[in-house]
Amino acid sequence: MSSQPTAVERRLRPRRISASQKQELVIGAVPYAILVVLVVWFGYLQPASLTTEQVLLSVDLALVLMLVAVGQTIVLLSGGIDLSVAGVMSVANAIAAVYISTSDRAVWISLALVAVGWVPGAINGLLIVVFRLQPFIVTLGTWFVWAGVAFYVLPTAGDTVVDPGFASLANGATLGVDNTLWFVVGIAVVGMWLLRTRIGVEIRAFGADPIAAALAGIRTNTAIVVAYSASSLFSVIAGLLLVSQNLSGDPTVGDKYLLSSIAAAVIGGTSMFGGSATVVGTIVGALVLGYVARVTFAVGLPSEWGLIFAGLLLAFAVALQGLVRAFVGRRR
Amino acid sequence: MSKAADGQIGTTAGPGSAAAPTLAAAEQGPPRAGTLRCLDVTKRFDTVVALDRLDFAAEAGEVHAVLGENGAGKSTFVKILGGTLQADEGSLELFGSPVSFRNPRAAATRGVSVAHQELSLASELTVAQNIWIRHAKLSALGMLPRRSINRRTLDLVKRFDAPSIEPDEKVKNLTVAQRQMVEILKAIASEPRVVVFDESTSALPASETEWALGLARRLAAEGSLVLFISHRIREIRQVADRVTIFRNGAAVRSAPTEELTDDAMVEAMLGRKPQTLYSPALVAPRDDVHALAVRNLHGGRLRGIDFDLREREILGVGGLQGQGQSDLLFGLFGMLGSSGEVTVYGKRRRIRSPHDALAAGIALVPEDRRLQGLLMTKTIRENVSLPNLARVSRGGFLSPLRELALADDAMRRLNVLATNTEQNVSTLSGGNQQKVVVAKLLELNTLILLLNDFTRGIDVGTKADLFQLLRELTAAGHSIVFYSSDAQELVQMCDRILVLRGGEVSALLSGSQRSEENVMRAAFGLDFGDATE
Repeated sequence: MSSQPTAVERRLRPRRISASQKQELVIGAVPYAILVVLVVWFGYLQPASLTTEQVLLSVDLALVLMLVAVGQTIVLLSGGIDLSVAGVMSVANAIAAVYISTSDRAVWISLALVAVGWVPGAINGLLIVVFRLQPFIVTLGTWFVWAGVAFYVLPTAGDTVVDPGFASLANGATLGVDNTLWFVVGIAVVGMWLLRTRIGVEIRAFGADPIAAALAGIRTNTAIVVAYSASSLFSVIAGLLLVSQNLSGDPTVGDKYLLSSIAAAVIGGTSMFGGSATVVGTIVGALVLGYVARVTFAVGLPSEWGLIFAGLLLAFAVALQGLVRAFVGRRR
Repeated sequence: MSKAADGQIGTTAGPGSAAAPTLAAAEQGPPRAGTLRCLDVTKRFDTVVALDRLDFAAEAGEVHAVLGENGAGKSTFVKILGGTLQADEGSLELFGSPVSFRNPRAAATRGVSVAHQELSLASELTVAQNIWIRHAKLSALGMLPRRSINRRTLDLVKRFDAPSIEPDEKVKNLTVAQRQMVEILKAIASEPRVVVFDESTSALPASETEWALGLARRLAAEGSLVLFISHRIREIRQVADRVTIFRNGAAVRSAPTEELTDDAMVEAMLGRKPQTLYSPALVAPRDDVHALAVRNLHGGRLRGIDFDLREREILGVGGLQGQGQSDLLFGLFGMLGSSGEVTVYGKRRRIRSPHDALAAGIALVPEDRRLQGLLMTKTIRENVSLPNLARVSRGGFLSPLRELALADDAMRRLNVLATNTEQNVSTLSGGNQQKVVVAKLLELNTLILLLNDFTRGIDVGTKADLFQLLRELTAAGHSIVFYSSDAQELVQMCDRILVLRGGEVSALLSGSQRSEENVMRAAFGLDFGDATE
């Protein structure tokens, strides 16, 4: 096969993008558009919010959610749902809060948690695959179990004061760049890489059309187990990072992130039916939700307004995606 | 036309395509050691025996057609071969060694590849990803390399002379015919030693069908075994060296294609002499009563359609694929937001939703009975009740007795073969499923039936039954619009044939004008007449 395209290849190449690809591009742009509008609007109200420091603070607020949401996205892509992220994140948070007392231990405990972080997800995946159970029920069950474990490890929130050195994980800088940004880039790279590997493509295939995927001979069971494993790994890192941000633990902290993780994924363009999602979309979705919380706080509204606003935004984003599907680049 | 496939082989560049060795396998006399052999293969589902001690043998280098009615065991056979199902008893031998495939991967590893009838494509993946997901060389980081699989897809298209396809397009954006082609390309991409074309041509338009047939011949010429499953005898004649006919889960006859006449094939499939396969009108349409009069219908692909449907008439709708035939049915059923004048029995009707259509006595039998026509996990009774809930309810509650009576009536009316009304529709044969679809609509006092590709995936024997059924319906006063992609079917079934082209009526064929050739000519916008040439 020569490197120069032959006449046939040239003939087969697209001259322009198809209507459907155009539609996808526009839908993909929805979360970015929302984020830009939010940032510009708030920047107009409060010009001080546009300084580097303030922007970083916003990213900081969204970072933990971003981790959980990217994990959730991978599971949603497989056509499932992972409720256990809440419990798993709480357990990681509790363990880190209780046992990290010196910087020395912090490294080992963090590494150990990350090393076994995939196990709860693998259990979910195996339960789903082996017993052919529904993801919703399985992860609801394991959510409760891990939530209980979290209480066992850390009965009440905020009791423990973690070694302050651990804060540098979330708040420090590496090579002159804020760690927060490294995390965002890391999440994006790892997530995008995973979805481009064969198993990632298999997860997408299974999520889109489970029966066709099985007929095509892809490793459907492996795909499911890997998707849930990845999700719980992301949740564990999120729980760990949250301790570094707050320097204290909370055995119920994961519950707050569960529904937000789904919301972030959906705002980012993830289909709840499976088969369609992007990592960067979800990251932007998390940034949008983080920003909404921050704006509400900054303009002095009580936090319940943040929830209402976030809910409206979720509905708006989904409606916008639907409108694009109906009206942009319609064929025929 | 029948020589086109051979011609195509001649034009394809590639090894082993110099001559079409049509009779390669037949000339070798009785089968040799056996590329593929099945010995006493039995498969049961609960009490139903799908395969009953099946013996089967086929050789590399031949296109081997498998023919049989629905329920004869072809699909089960293909599934066992492809690793989707496992045999209960008996053995499978590939190149002389016994094999048993636990899953499709195992089959593919041993060189058995299936182009599935129901397609094995993931709609959210691109064409190239679907084709290469299992055997692409991964990049250093374990990723599926987009550029290289796209290029390999184009290579594959070029090598097999396939109609052009965009490798980076997601499968969900392809037409049914394009998907079918991707399914075929995917099956042959791994260079398998045994390829199964499982009704691969049933969703393809004529030119792509020629391509697929040529491809089957070429793969055989290059040394593969091609199993070709089809309901179209003409295609089998065109492509297959040998035919094995299944009946009731066993192979009842296997012979070189040219030794079997059409009648012999049908006889072997049915296990009896064929009667007239297609039934003539029992009662002539009434010229003076128009069940339906349509004027200037627009919407979707339609650009001003006029026609009348006489009472008791079966009006065929034909043409090349995608010329507005489905839109015509959808438009009449209120699913398109179409505009135009629709008159039902002399009364103007505004049909803006399926609800309006049903109220006007118009019902649509959808093309995909499994997805659109039936709730596959429910019983006959539940399926019949669904559109008739008002009739089977009392004071807002379902009345079990009324439901039963209605389902019983529906079953008896169309002679549905089932143990009782509580049988799950998924366990019925294709023909009987189709009867349930019609039966539940008839209970709505439907006058006009719109049939969308009514006989898709229905075998010859059942087709005759269904046609007889349609004739009985017209005799009972119903009028039918019958869309089919099969011109032969239109000619043999319909009183008149409306041929669409580019969303307009290209011809209305009646009387002696009705011929396959005229349908084709009108579909291509050519002149036509009573003469044969």
